[in-house]
Amino acid sequence: MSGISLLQASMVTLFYVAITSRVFGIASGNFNFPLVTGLWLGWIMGDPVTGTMLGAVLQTLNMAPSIVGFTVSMDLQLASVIAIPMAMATGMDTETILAFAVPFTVIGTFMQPVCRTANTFAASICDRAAAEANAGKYYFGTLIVPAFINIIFRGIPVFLALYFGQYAMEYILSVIPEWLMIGFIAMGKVLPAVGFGIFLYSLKRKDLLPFFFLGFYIMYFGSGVLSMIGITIFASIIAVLYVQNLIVREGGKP
Amino acid sequence: MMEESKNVNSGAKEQLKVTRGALIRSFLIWLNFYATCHTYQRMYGCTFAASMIPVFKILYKNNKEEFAAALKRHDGFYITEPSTGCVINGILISMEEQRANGAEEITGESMEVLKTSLMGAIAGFGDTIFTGTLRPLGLSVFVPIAMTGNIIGSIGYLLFKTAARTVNGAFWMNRGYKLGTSALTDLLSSGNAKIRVMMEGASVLSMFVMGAMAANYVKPTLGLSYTSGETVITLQSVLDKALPGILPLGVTMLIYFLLSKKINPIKIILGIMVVCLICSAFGLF
Repeated sequence: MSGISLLQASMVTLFYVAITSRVFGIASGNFNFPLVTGLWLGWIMGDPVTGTMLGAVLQTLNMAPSIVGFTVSMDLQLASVIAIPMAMATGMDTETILAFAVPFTVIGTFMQPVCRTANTFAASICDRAAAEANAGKYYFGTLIVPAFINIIFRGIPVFLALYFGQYAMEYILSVIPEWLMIGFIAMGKVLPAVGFGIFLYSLKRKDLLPFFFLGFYIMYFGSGVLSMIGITIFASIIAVLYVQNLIVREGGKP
Repeated sequence: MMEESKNVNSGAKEQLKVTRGALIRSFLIWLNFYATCHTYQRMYGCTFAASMIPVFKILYKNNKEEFAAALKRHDGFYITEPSTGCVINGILISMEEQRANGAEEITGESMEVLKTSLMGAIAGFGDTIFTGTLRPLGLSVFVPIAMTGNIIGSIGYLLFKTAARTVNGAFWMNRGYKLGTSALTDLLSSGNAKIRVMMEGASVLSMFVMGAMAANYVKPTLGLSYTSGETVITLQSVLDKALPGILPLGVTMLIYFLLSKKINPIKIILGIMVVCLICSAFGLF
């Protein structure tokens, strides 16, 4: 095991605080995706290619869209920030990293309310700034103070988990019973369903469910032959047909 | 309210105009940082107000009280799909501009009502077209590339999404500011069949694609097997023949059912974890 050095743990922590504080601006939102963070975490750990692969593996835990206003139910961001460096340091295989990441997707969702509640403090600074008509202070309250809140509530725990957790990790991996490991691996295969369930629920279109089943079974029997591009072509054609039909049903005019 | 706006008006002879630079600055603050000061009471409210500062600096340059009041009326509860939601930013900037130029019918309350009533509709629209369709399509293309260890999968998705977001946001911001309140009738009138047809099409497309992705990525398998004579028969192979796809589809539909019974998704996840561990302890996997 190569381990996570002090410098690497600090860099990962800094990276995590930076993305949660939106230092990368418009692009920041995309750093919620392990697919995107994997490359950079891998680069910090000395192997961008492995990092990218592990990021893609973690991404499969949730491929469905997250809908605005819906509570984030799986924090893949925290999971990737902890699991990818750990996996690279201890040389885990892909099934193990999925199993290992699963608990962190849930822990992250418990941390989110803490930060949002702490941000109330930042909002109170904004209130005072607004009363004083002080633009600079208002920017400070909205943009800078939350970053410090992120350092305290996200940065420090992640640093501790990475730097000190790696020794615990080594021990846990050596004593964990096989059935428990298999259970965690199975979770990694079932949990992607949550994202799709949430998607179906939030779209609130029971009448369109047959299209979901159609897509499912075409891919189920055609996987290996059909690519996602192929599926998208089918989907587009069917969408056009459906819309045309809809227009006809409603009497011509679009 | 009326006294205040007269106050503004008396000092200004020429019409106040939000410059293109201020519009761009406002756009950048919003789209770059919308989620920084995210609280339960206001969601994106504080950052929305912060994004209006470049505009207020022009409109209420010499009037501290108006500046403070303007900041205050925009920091309330606000959440929507941020990039398509730029249309709301645009509309409000144009309303603030009219107000600063003496349009007395535009009050703080009318802007507040407009914001809260629009954000839900825009979130529905933006999520269907933008988040619901573009995101899974992007993931389905770039995840397999990244799986093979090609960093284009990672960088490509980042660039694709960032570009889509920026272009989409800029388009809506511009439209909102130019059309002002008339953008509303344009967007929300139930007679606007073009938008409705577009949303229907996008919904069908994303339903279909999501179904295919579910088949690709939800892969629970059972490992239980029994031996009869020479051959080993696994429970999974029996299931595959008799009820193909029943496990992934069944689990997805069960989660959908539980959600529609208003069960918290985190509870569902914890439930899945417990069930998986129990099944694993009994050797089902």
